[in-house]
Amino acid sequence: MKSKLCIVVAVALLPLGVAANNGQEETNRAQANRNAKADARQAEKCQRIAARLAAKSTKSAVVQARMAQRYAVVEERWARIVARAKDSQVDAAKLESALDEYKALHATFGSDFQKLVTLQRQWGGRCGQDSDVSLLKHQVKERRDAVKADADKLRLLRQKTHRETLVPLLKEMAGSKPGAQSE
Amino acid sequence: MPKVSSQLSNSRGVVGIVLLAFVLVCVIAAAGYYVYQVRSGGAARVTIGTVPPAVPSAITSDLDAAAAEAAGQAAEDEDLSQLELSDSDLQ
Repeated sequence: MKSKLCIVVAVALLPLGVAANNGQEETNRAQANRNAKADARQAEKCQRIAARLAAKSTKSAVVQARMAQRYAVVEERWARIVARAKDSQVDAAKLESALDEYKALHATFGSDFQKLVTLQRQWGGRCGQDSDVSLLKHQVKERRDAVKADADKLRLLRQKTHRETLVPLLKEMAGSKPGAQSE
Repeated sequence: MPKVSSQLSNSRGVVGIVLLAFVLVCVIAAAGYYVYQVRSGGAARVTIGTVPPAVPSAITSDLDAAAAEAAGQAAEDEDLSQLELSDSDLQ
C-alpha cells in the first residue's frame, strides 16, 4: 500500500521536476548567451586597444630612431673634431672622454626606449588576460620617465661639453693652426 | 526742437550700446585667445619669454661643431610627452 502511495506521489511530482529542469535549462541558455555577448564585446575592445597600442609603439619607435640618428651625428662630429685636434697636435682628451660618456648615455637611452616600445607592443596582445589598466599605465609612465631622464642627461652633457670643452678646444686648435677648419 | 534733441539722445544711446558690445566682443575674443594659448602651451612660452641661449661663435663657425649643435638641439626638441598613454588609448 505504502509503495503504491509512493509511486502515485512520484508520478504526481514528475511534471513538476521536468518543469523545474526546463526552467533551469532556460536560465542556463540565457546565461550562456549573455556570456557569449560579453566575450564578443571584450574581444572587440581588446582588438581596438591592441590596434591603438601597436600604432603608439610604432610612433615611439619612429621617435626613437630619429633621436638616435641625431645623437649619432653629434658623436660622429665630435669624433671628427677629436681627430682634427690630434692632427693639429692639440690635446682632445676631455672631448674624447665626453664622447665616451655621451655614447654610454646614448646606449642607455636606446635600451630604455626599446623597453618602452616593447611594453606598448606586448600589452596589446595581453589584453583580456591581464586587464589591469592602471598597472600598464604605471609601467609605461616609469619607462617614459626613464627615457626622459636619459634624454635630459644627454642634453646637459652636450651643452656642458660644448660650453666648457668644445669652445676652448676649437679656440686652441685655431690658435695652433691658423686657418684650420673642417672641410 | 524737443523732438530733435530726443533723436540725438537716442542715437547717442545706440552708439553707446554698439561701443559697449564691441568692447565686450574684444574682451571675449582676448579671453578665448588666452585660453587657447594656455592649452597649446603658447602662453607659457610668451609669458616666460625664454630666449634660447646664444651659441658661441666658435661653434657656429666650425662645420663639425655647428652640425653637432644642430643635431643635438633637434634631438632635444623631440616631444616625449606623446609617449605617454592616455585613457582613450585603453578604451
